[in-house]
Amino acid sequence: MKKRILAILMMVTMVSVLAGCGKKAADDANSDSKEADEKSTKIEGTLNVVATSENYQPLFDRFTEEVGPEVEFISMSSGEVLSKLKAEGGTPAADVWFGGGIDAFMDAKENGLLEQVNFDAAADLTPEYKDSENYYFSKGVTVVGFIVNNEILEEKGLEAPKSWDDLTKPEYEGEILMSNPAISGTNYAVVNALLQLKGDAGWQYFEDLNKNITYYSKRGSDPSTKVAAGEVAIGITYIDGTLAELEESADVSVIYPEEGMPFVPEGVAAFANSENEEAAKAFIEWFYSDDENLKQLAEIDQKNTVLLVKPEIEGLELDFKQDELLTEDLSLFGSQREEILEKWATLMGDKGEE
Amino acid sequence: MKSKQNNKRAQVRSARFFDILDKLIISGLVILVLAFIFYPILCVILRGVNVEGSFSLKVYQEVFTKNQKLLWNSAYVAIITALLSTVLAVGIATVVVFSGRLKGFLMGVLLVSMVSPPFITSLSYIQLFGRRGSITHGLLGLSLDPYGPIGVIIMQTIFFASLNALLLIGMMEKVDQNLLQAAADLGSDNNDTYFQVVLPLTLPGVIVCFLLSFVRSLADYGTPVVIGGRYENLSTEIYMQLIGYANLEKSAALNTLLLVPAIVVFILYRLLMSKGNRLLQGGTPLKEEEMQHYRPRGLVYGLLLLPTVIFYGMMLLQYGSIFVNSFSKQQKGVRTFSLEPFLQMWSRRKDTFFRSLVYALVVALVGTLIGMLISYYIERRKLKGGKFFDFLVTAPYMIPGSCFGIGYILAFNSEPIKLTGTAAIVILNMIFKQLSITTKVTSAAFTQIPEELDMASADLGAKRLQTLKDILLPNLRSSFAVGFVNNFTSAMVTAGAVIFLVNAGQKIAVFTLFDAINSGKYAEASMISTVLILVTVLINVIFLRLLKGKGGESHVSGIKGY
Repeated sequence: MKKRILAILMMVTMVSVLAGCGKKAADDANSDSKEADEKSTKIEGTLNVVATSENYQPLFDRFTEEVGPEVEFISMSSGEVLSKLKAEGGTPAADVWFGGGIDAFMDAKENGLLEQVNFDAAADLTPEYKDSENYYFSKGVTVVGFIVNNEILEEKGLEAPKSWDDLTKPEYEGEILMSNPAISGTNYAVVNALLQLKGDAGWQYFEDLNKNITYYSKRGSDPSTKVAAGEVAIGITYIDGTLAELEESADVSVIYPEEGMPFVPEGVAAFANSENEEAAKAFIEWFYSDDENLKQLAEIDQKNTVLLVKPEIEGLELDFKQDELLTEDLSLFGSQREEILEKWATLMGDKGEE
Repeated sequence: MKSKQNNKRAQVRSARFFDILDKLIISGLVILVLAFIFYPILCVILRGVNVEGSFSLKVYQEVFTKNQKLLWNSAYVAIITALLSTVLAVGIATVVVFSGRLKGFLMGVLLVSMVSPPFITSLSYIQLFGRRGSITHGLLGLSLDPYGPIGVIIMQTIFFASLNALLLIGMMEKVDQNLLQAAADLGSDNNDTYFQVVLPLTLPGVIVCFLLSFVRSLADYGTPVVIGGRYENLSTEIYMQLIGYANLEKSAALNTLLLVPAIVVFILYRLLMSKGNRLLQGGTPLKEEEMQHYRPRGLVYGLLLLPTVIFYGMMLLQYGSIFVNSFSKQQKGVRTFSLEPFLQMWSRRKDTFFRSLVYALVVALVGTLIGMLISYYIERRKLKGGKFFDFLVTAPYMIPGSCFGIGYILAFNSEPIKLTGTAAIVILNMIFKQLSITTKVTSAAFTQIPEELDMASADLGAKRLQTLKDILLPNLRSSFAVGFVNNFTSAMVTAGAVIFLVNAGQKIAVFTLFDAINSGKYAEASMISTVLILVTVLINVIFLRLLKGKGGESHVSGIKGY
């Protein structure tokens, strides 16, 4: 008897599984924007945010105070966010995406995972740093440079590298750490930007660089932390407030390469079909409509790159000259991603080579 | 007279109640396993054939033909790791089992070493033995490069040795004392007895350890991601496809590829385990004090002792360094004592520990109960399709946690069972990921309880569930202990699926650990680990004491020492 029950149950489940498993195509976003009169009234509910860092708490607290919704947030890498979104099949568990390389946002928009957010202040934002159809915006940029461990350089009798070209010098063999560009948005920016800079010679450059790289780490923070720990002499890394902390704790220096710094905008967007859509849109509008918010962000991020997104915020000044940044056509970041990463993976032989 | 009749009627009623309950439980278990194991895994597998909305075998074709190198990398590291880890575990188990009075202490360390938070142990290994390692560089003046397959093999060997040793200790303790005495009476010395009686009797267990470690090594991505360097294998590729490329189809196909060796191993496991338990059935185990008389001697013991000492040394170093890191601060390369990591942790994360604790307790109690019931129906009631069922239960243990997590999101993201975004999805995932250890341990225990007991009970008029409740359960206390400890521990410290399933507002401690490591805050990560380790060990010890206090001696897999 039980045997039969078991058999029947198994069959029933299998049939229903075969019927149900496939049909979860992402619903297309029905974006009838109804953000007319949410200004004055307070909004109820909770806003779920995916952020790159936990430090944004004070900013979110202000939002709760001024607009209403409680903010819960969690930190995830861009790749994790994308995988999760795709698996969720159009029913995202979060409402707002705050920070992360812009290429992931481009990918998400392409896949219909983002929600259009139209608001007045969007017109004040630099067009290059936002989506033309208002599916995503940015809150500043991540710039990339080097971090070096002075102790190790001294021990090996090496000069600190000054430029991207220096990195390919034979004396740095086995002394450079870089993150896998598929994992790290900043190192993807390096690859894309230098390819744009060097044109046809670009791939040759990365093949030469490859000889000096010990391995491509699978976490974005590895280059800086491992240089600080003395595991390698040179790291290719994002430059932000955490590096200042590392400079305190170990004998390391940050270097801005001569040719210029690659950079990648950090995205902000609302997820399509999210549960608290109203609150998500309200957050984005609120965030860009008051310079105080952007100033607070600059303070938390310990950098003022939000000025690139919205020029002329009173009391803020860029910490570097804008021409220290490499010239990048950001529109290529998303469209070329797949192709570049594939070629990169084949050329750099990370498919299991020793 | 009347009261007797009443009594009888009550008995009939209660018998009928147990019959209905029996059927309910069977259906419940089948539904649970199909819904929370079979269905999510199937969703993952099917995702690989669903290319842009239409059916295609393209991804599978590509993955199965283009990844020989990765498959080979996975395989050779898994084989070497499994071999070394098993040999190490034999050494540890032998030393512990025959150690006499030291046994309690040695078991304690082993129990602590089961609690191994992800990533942080690999990081402490780099800190100790890396290019600037405090031992290799600081003490010996060497500058070694720990990154690569060798680093992975060493780390996995050590990680897996703890569980292997616990399993082997459980088996060695059950060797029939009569056999040992007989061997001694026939003039065999201790080493002969060890090689000709003890080892052959535990051999199936040894092979099981080998196979388990093999599968765990295949599925483990945390270790190679941290210290693999340029070494890549199937599980790191799955990680890359998920985290780097957000390519669900390809990672699904890679997962299916990984299931192939898992199935082979599972079949071998079933064959060997049933043999092993038959060998040990019905023996009278020796008392701890007597055990010492049969300890191997001389060179043999030396060879077993050496790796054991190294293992215990590594454990002390590893946990010591995590502890030291969590109370220190580095300034211009100089380490000083500091409470900063603790204060940071306390102010920002204490609620995550509380949440972890609640989740883990639920997982431990519910998961262990479900696991034990499943093994009862498979082993004792010999349900048809039981072997397939057992395979389903084992499967989640054999695939990377991140994929099992993605499977849950794929399966439960819409009505009728929409679970994404809830605490339930996290807890269910934890329960079903670890179910197989409980069922394995319980199954082993069942083979030790003579089936004649069931029959006698049935002859006396008891329904089967009554037999389970009154006769079998009291004999399964120690399986319950192992299941609880394993479930609780892994719920506290396993990261795998949690990364994908946990949502804002329900962060648990191991998530914040992952987070701290990813942003390079090692001191804080160490602090979180230290607290996790302390809390987990504390709860386990309290639980084992409570269980012991309820009478009866616990006696499976060495939890006895506690």
